[in-house]
Amino acid sequence: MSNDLENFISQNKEAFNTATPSNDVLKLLQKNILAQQQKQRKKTGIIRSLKFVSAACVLLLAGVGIYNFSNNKSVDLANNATQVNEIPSIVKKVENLPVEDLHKSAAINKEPLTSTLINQNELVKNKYITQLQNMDAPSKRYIAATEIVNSKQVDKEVVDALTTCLNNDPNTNVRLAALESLSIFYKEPLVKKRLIESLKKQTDPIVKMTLIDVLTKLRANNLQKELEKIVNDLHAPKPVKDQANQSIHTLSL
Amino acid sequence: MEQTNIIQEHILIDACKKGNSLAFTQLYNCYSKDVFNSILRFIDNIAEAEDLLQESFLAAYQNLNQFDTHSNFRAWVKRIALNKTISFLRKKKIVFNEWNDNIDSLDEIFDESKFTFQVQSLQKAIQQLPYSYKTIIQLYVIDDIPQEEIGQMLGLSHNTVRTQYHRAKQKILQILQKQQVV
Repeated sequence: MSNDLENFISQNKEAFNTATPSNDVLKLLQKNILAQQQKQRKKTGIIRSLKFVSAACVLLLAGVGIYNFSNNKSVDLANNATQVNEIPSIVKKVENLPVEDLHKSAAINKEPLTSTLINQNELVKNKYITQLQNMDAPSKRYIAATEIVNSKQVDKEVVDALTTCLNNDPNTNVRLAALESLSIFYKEPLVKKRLIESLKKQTDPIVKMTLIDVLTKLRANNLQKELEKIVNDLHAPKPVKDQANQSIHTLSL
Repeated sequence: MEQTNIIQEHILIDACKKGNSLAFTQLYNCYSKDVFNSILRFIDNIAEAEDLLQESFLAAYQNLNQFDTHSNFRAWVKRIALNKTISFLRKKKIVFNEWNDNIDSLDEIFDESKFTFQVQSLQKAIQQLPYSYKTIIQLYVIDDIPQEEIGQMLGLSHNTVRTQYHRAKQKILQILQKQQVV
């Protein structure tokens, strides 16, 4: 089959393309291309602006982060410095207060200076001190007397609370627990002093005997004198007198 | 000469890609007539054809980055135009079906070597063809679109396009013979 028709058309193709589009088509096209270019520029501009804004945001956030970090650090340091400076004056204030007032002071939190020192450990300590005063629950007082030394904040307040418990608690086991906790800090002069004082005030014979034993092991000052008073005391129970005699003998060795 | 045109076309396309709209105007001036006539072979309305021409070149400009520099720009933009035209016709509910023609039977096979062709008489004969025949023969012979691609454009099978092209050609020869006899 020949292709004469196709060949003829192919050779005379231009003759079949006689129509010409009007100039308006080109004008409209140029107008649309211009609009397209402006749109593209606007889009590029927006993208650039967005990139710039994102970069600025990142920098701003980084700046705020660094500022907060350094500020917190300096604030912490300043707070620590303030707290360290305040400690001696606070201790003095605490020493001058009676024991009962100390508890109230810690609980009620009236002093603005002490309030700055109240942190988590302080709260734990205050919780135990409050429990030691709970006359309705000996078990809670016993736990408090045992656990209070585990709180990281063992200070004069704790020693006083335990001493009060050792001297006045109606339950022997609670008193013994308080004695055991105090004896952990036997190297502290304040503790030794309180234990010797407690020997004079102690009314529970079992606790008194244990106390004599502990003080003998500690070889506390003035113990000999106190032991002789017990031995010479007519109202002192015999087991206590025997314990005192044995301690005098131990101390003389 | 052809090589020079290709080099010039590549230079213009590169300039367009860099945002030179004047270069695109030159490309338009080179190929708009050819593309416009291809559209007109589908659509009789000049205004609609001009709209499609403008839309086609704008689409070409917008997608210039996708154009492979080693390809033929004229063929590329013409395909864009033809696809847009076919979509336009589909929107107007003009469907290219795999239909059985109702034209006169073509039992007689014409020997085209005996014909003396003239542009004007050939154009008249093509205009007398049914719409689908006319479309296929123009796309294949005048616009140089392969039959397989015509099938893809119109949603027809390759076999249908080949059969219809053959029938369209015989119909043209039949018309031309009648004219010559007359």
